[in-house]
Amino acid sequence: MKILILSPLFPPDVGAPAPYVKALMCRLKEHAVTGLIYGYLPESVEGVSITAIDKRTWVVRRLIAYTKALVRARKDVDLIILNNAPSVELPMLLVSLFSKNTIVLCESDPLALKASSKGFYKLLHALLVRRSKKVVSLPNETIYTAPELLPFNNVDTLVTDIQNKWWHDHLRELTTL
Amino acid sequence: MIDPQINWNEYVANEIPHIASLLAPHDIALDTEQPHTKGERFLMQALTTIGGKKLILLGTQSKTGAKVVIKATNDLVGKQELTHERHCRTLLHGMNFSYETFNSPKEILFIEKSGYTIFVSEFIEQASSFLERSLEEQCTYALNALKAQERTRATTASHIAQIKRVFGTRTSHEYLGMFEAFIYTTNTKYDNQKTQSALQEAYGCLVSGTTRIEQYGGFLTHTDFVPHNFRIKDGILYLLDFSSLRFGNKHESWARFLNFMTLYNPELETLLTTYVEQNRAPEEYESLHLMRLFRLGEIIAYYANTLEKSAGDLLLLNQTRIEFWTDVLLAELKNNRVDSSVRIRYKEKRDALRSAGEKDRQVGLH
Repeated sequence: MKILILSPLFPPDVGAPAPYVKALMCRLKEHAVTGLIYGYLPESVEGVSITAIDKRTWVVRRLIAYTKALVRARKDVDLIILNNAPSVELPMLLVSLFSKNTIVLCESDPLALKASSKGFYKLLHALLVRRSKKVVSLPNETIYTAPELLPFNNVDTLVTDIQNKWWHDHLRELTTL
Repeated sequence: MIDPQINWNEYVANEIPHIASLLAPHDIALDTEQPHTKGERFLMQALTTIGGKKLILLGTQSKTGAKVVIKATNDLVGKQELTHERHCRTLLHGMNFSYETFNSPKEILFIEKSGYTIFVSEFIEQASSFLERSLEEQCTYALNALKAQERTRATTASHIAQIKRVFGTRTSHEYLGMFEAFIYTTNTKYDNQKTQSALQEAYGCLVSGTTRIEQYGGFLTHTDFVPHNFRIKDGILYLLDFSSLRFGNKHESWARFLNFMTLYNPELETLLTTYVEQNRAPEEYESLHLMRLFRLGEIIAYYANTLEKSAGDLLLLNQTRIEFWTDVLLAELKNNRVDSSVRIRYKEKRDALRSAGEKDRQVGLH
């Protein structure tokens, strides 16, 4: 399956959903994955081509750049996994007016989700929910973030097992249409 | 030529009574013993921060008996540094994109009077110095503090507008420019082929790693993140120096800390390096390596800069320091650690050459 992942953040940027999106790309290796993200010089993921739109420009300019890049990137894609944020939702909504890509909306950015509870952002989010095949919510980040290997601490294998199980179910939920 | 040490001692002797008289109306008395004016304090002139002339003094609040730390100066650059530090602290606590901020000692007094700028903050009493703590504690505190800095990144145009004027930013281009200055300083003040070629090789690595340096730019970083710039009380780490905060490569503070630990606690250095290798993207490890080279170039240039102000044992000591840090740089260039025998030999020589005043100043410092 050809999958395009859209995200407002990606490492080395910090905060949700950056670590989740990188982990998702790593775990979707059996598919042909591409990424379209906001950022500058993103970290690499083996086998994944990532297009980055620089955020250090005027907001309208970067929205236009993202929309143009999305028009190009969505071609021949079977599935678009969109990580919520107005800066990604608006371009996707515009592009979805003339495309028939299958969209899965992943509510992976709690701060953006909070911002989408009122006004224009609320409307934007609601419209995109209607255009999405499904909406997936994420649990607390401790479920999907791999535990760090810390000096003086052993990794709890039970935690790793729970995470692997969660990821297995989560990937199936995202990719089973 | 005026002896810089004598000049400094006269400066301290002249300034203390003025500062004491300005603090007296605020019920603050200076301590008789002032360890931070002794030893090699006179040589300290930071290369990469504002680095003005100032005194760091200890005092007591007469009413409460509480100990305080006083930073005071009548030097123009020194005043700019104190004001800058205060701005940094205020802005840091108010940034809308910062995920986590630092704890800082409570401000007690800030006055600008009779040509002096004086900043007084509470003294953080700590049960033991950082290096006296267990390796596990040191590792935990260091990791938490380094990770806290990484959570603040200026990525959008509005973020950059917020920080640019107060903190200043460093791009890969600026890092290269600074390193060129380190090479120039060292070459003009310390004629040594081994050091010069090591610096040149490091510069080559930085040039070819420009993209990697830029990739991790825009992060909040403390350019002097070492144990004497923070104190720990009741499990909380307090940052003492806010003037060294910059937005730049996120591994600048890591690099400074790790290079410091190369000398003071190599076990901790190994643990932290391994942590980065095991938990972070390979690009991060490369970026850290490049920043370590950068900071080693800086410390070599720092000591090269002190040579003309040094004489006797101190001159010999500073030359020995350059030799040691050159060995560390050569090891880092091969992605290795300096041999422990080199470190032990250096420490023995350093301790033999240090003055009594400097030995006093070093007690409990780290």
